[in-house]
Parts: sequence; structure tokens; C-alpha cells
Amino acid sequence: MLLALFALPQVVHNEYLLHLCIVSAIFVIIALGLNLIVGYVGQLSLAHAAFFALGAYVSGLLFIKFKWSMWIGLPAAAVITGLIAFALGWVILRVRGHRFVIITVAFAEIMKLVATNWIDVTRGFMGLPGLTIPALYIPGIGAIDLSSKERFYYVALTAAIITFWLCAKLVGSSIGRAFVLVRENEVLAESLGISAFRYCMIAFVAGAAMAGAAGSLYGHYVGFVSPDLFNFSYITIMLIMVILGGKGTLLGPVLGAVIFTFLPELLREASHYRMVIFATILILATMFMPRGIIFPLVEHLVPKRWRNKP
Amino acid sequence: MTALLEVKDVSVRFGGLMALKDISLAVSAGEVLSVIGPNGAGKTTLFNVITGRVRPTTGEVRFRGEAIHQMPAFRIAQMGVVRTFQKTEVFGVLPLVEGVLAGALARGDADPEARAREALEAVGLAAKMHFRADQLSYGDQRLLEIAQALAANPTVLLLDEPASGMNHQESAQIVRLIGALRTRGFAIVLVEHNMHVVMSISDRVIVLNYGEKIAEGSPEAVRADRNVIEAYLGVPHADAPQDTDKDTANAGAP
Amino acid sequence: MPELAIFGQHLLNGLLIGCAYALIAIGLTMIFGVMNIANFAHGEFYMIGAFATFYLVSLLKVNYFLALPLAVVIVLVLAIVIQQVIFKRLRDAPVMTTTLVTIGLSLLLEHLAHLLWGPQPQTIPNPFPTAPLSFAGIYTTPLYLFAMLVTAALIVIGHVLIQRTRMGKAMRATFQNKEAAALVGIRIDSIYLYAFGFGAALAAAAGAVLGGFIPVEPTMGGVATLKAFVVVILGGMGSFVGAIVGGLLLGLAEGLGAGYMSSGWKDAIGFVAVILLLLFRPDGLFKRG
Repeated sequence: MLLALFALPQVVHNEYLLHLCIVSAIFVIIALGLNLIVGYVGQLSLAHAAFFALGAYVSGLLFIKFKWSMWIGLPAAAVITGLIAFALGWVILRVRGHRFVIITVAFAEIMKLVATNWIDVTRGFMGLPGLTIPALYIPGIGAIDLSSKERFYYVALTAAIITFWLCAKLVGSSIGRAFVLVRENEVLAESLGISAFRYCMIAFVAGAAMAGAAGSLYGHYVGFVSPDLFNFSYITIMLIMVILGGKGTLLGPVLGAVIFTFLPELLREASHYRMVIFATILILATMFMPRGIIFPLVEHLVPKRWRNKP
Repeated sequence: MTALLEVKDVSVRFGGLMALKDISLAVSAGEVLSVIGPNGAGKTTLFNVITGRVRPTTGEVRFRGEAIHQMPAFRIAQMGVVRTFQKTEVFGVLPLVEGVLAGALARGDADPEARAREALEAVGLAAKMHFRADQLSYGDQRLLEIAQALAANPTVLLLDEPASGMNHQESAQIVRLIGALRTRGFAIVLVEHNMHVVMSISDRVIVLNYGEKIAEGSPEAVRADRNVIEAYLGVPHADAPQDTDKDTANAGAP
Repeated sequence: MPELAIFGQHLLNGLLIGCAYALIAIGLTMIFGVMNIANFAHGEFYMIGAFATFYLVSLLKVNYFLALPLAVVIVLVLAIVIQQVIFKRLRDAPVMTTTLVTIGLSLLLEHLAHLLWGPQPQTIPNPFPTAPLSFAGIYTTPLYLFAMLVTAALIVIGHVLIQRTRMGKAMRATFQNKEAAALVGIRIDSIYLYAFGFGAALAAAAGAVLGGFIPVEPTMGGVATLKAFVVVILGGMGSFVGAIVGGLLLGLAEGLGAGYMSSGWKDAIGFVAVILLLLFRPDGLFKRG
């Protein structure tokens, strides 16, 4: 399976398809992160897209102001976004449930307003243009240019695989088990000694850091960062990827990310029709198919060790 | 013998309502203290105060001498004061062993699954280890709750109506279980309406009514106490809390 | 004094928006209190109320004063359908499920509106003279006064309905304790229907009335929802009084903010207030009820 993924650019030369593959990989990272808080701990965070955009801005600003390449920008984006999530979570994860959801929305809106109005720093709607993909310096070989789609695909793919591995480790550990216990019955878990706040924080911060890293990748790939990244449509598609893909599993968000990156492109013409259809599917799936749509379909094909009990 | 858990002059006020008024009690290791009283007397509120879900308006709760009444609920549980709930609480779709290990996980135990298995054995559910919690019968779920509490390695167990809704056989099983736990050294506080259970297993009994303690003593002494009889029925009556078999849980008059 | 007049002008500008916020928030807080649903689609009722009024007046040539209640009825019917088809089935569903459904619903309605009515902002034609009125240096228009009158009246009516009628009392009982209410014989499904419909109707009324001077377009619902949530959190989720006071306060604060700060930041007032509130008073400014 991994070999097939790595061999892909040798076979597929269509620029457009490669572009979709790259975007899918980036969204896999985002979806895996969102899944930690939504699928594993069970809190609906609508701030995830804001963390994604924040990561893009951090990386973009570091590039524009200090000329620091993505190799610094990406980890910086992950760390700084994680820290912001930590601070935010410290305040708002004490209330969970409805109020938490609404506060995450409020946070996202504030971030959008800051990006739009703090013109001195963020250049408002003019955004941060000219971001480039850095070269990879290997001692002895020199600089390898990574800016072609084939080459950048490997970067994105590697990042996605690392993220998947990290999530698998986290979910398989006692922290992951605690996540599930908090999700299934928070009151009971607390009464047995599990601090719901602590585990929600871990999921929230880890997820945010992943979104931030993805934001950095996206920003450098697309070359331009603007307040449009804070649009509500991003969190919508992220939720659809996780929910319809299968929340609370490892493979679900991956499948969701890939399918819902490719699918909209097929329906490209009818943007509003597309959203109406997606919205309807989201409603129906949430009401009637709590395990998502994609995952149950693919279930019998997948080896057992990739799966977690949803 | 110094008490393991002490409640000192605890009062709890919710808005205009005095849920508990100057309640004091103490329980030691290897002792079963039962708290009885009509519905609404404040028994569950008492548990909520001890376990940190509710803060007392005045008074304090001490565990091994340390004040715990301002600590967060999960910390109190980690220290060794663990409860079950009046309305059955289990981890829904998880297999029994996955849910029961919660307490062991919380304390950083090296092998939470082993603790979970031991706890399930102690209550007699070991054979159903891989069943899902929501597939169990009601009686088994109540036993599961006790296993969940046991895996957290408690010192004090607070059991909220463990025998409610059980038939004679099942409640006899609960009585045996509580006795075995007492022998193992747990301090047990029991809220129960089933008088058969209360009379069989308690070392001491406290009676609450409208948030106040109206009697305390041995089971027999409390049973004969006039205040207690009046509280349950409003008038002295032959059907006072007695050693009768009860198939249903609730005994009190509104 | 011109300063005072300017101050008063900003206050007045904010007052109407405050009343609108209050109207929308009352419905939202009621739906939350009774049904335990955070209705992210609430703003869409506001939007559809505005569009319905627009089409009634401009296409069907219905009298303006007739179109207003008619639009509310149209939205009410829509809300009833939604409640019966969707939320009735989700009566005891967890937070995540109901919230995701309302988010989906919000998207569905917004994009349907795009498809049906296009993105072009519209303004509802109205029979009021456009000449501004002024007193003490503060300017306003007859339409504005009318809108204020209607929204204020609706707030009062809403308050009375909730406090005095049998249905209102039943709703409040369900707030406090759903199981007890069901035991006493209150039909929970009817209460849900009433609460949802009532909330939607109030929001639609706000949209119908405001559509005369703010642009009516499909995305207006999203903003309204956000602001309504801010108000509900500030006032306390489930508190009617909180929704009214919170709505008015937010409106006034934004009116002053738009006047004295750059208008981009005025929207931040509410959001920052929410986060600050959470730091210091997690239960909101008022208690539930």
C-alpha cells in the first residue's frame, strides 16, 4: 500500500491529478487532527479551520518578514498554533458541550477579524503573497528543488504518513484509551479518576498543532495566504471529511479527506448544488449513520490492525 | 480507630433550598455505614459533596485527615474515594474490560487490564468480560458499576442504591459482595432503600430526613427510633422500616 | 451639544439592531432551553423571513403591512416541517449529533437560498416616506421608528406569552426538568414544536422588519446566528431576560463601537466579551430561567 503511494508520481503525470493528491495529503493531516477532538474525545470544535489558517499565517509571516523557509515555518506553525490552542483550551475546555462549540466559533471569528483588520501585520485582504516551497539541502548532494508537483507530493505524503503514525501511537496508548472513556461517559470517567479536562486538552492541542502544520504546507504550496482561509467553508469540509469518513477511527478521516478532496472537483460546476447535496448528506449521515458512510463500505477490505473500535 | 472518611458539619444550599443541614458522619476501614431516608432526604447530595461534584456551602470533608471538599472530582477519585451512581452509569458500547480498566488507567497502573479482570472476578462477571456493557442485564450492570469502582483501587466505596430494582436473589448476592468487600478492608458507605439489605449488612445506620440527620446508631436501634418511623410514614405505624423482603426498591412516603 | 447628539445617534443606531438581536436571541435561547439544541440554523429563519417579505412585496405586490406577518407564517410552516421531520427524531440525541444537524441545515438553507434567489443583495420596498426626521440633532427615518416599534412590541408580546400563557408555563417547566414535566402530563413533542416554531417566527419577524434597510442576501443568516449565540451566552443559555438584556446591550455596544472605532473591529466586541465572560462568570450574566 505504502509502495503504491510512493510510486504514484511515476505513474501519474497529470498535473491536475497530482495537485489533488497533494491537497488530499494536506487534508489528511487536518482530518486526523480534527478527528482527535471530535472523534476520540467527542467534543465538537469549530476552531480547527482557524488553527489551519493560523498555521498558514505564522509560516507565511516568518517567510515574508524573516525569509525563513518552510523547513522552519512548518514546525514553528505547529508549535505556535499548539501554544495558542493550549491557551484557548485552558480557558474554554472547562465548559464542554454546547458552550464549547459556540466559543470555538467565536474564536474563529475573532481570528478572522484580526487577519482582516490588523493590516500592519497581516496586510488584510491583500494577504501574504509569494510564498515558495523551499529546496531540500542534503550534505554531499546539494540542493534538491522540491517545487514541482511531483516532488512536493513526496513532501506532503511524508508529512501525512508521519501524522498518521503519530495518531496511531497516541490512540493506541493509555492516553487514547482515556480519550474513548471520556467520550463514552464523561461523568463516569471523572468519578473513576480520569480528568476529562486533561484529555480534552491533549486532543485539542495535538489536533491544533496538526492543523497548523497543514496550514503551513498549504500556504507554501499555494503560494498565497489570505483571510479567505478563515471562511466557514473550510471547517465545513473538514467536518464532512471526518464525520462521513468515520469519526473515532484512524482510517476514516484518511478516506474522508481523500474522497472529499476529489469529489468536489467532480462536481465543480455547480458549487451551490454541491453544497446543498453535501449538507443533505451530512444531515442524513449524522442522523442515521453515526459511523460515517465510507468506512462501513470499505471495512471488509482493511486489515484489522488499522482499525480502532469506533 | 481513626476514621478514614469524615464529614464535618456539612451544609449544602441550592438557591433557596437547604439540601443538607449540618451533617456529620465518619466511617472507618472494614465498616459498612448505611445512609437511609425518604426520597429527597439529601442522600445523593451527600454523595455528591463527598465526591466533589457539589461544593458544600459550609463544613468540610476529610479523607485520611486531608480536606478534600474543594478538590476536583477526578482527584478525589484518584485519592481513593470512589462511588457508584443511582442511575446506572456504564461505558456504553465498550466491552466490559475496556470500561472497567478506567479507574486503573486513571491511577497510572502499569497493567490496567489485569486490574480490570480482577475487579470483574470479584463481582462475578469475569465470564462476560468481552461482552459490551450495554448488552448486559440490569442486574449485571449494577454489578459492573461496582467492578468499575473496584478497579480504581479505592479505600472508601460509596454505593448509591446498588440493590435497587433487584429481586431477592440478586440483592442477596449484593449483600454477600458487600460483606466480602468489608472483610477485605474497604470502608463502605451505602445508600439504600431496600431495608433487608440495610439490616443484613450494616454496622451502623444514619437516617436523613429533609437534609438533616434524625437518627444514628446500630440497625436495630434505628429501626425502633420513633423519629425515624414518623419520618417515613408521617404517623407511627406498624409498617415502619422492617426486616421484610422487598421486591421493589422504594420504601419511603413522599 | 454636537457630542451628545453624536453619542445619541450612535445609541439610536444601535438600539434597533439591539432589539433585533434580542428577538433572534429569545428564540435561540428558548430552543436551547427547551430542546437542548444549539440551533446553528437559527439565522437562516431570519434570512428567509427577509427574503419572503421581499418577494411578497416586490413580486406578488402584497401590501407591506400584510407581507410582514405573512412572511412570518411562511417561515413558521417551514420550521414546523423541519421540527417534525428532523428534530422530533433527535429528541434525546447527544450534543454532537444535534449540533452537526443544525450546521448541516444552516448550510442547506443558505445554499438553497443562493440557488433560488441569487447572491444579489435586495432591499424590501416599503411605503414609508424616506425623508429623515430629526430631533435634538439626532436623525432617524419613519421606517426605522416603525421597525423599532414592531420589534419592541414583539419582545413584549414574547415575554407575555412565555410568562402568562399555559403553553409558556409548560415550556418553562420543561426547561427545569424534562422528566418531571413529562410525568405531570406535559406533552413534550408539543412543547418542542411550540418552542421551535415560536423561535423561528421571532427570528423571521426580525428579518422581515430589518430587510427594509439592511441588504437582504443569502449570507445574512450566518452573521445573525453568530451574534445571537454571543447574546445567548452573555445572557445565560436558557434565560429570556438575559437574551433581551444581552441583545440590547450588544446592539448598543456595537452602535457605539461602529461610531467610535473602525467598523471592522466592532464585530469583535461580542466575541471578545464572550471569551472574557467565560473567564470570570461561566454561567452567564443571569441564571437560567
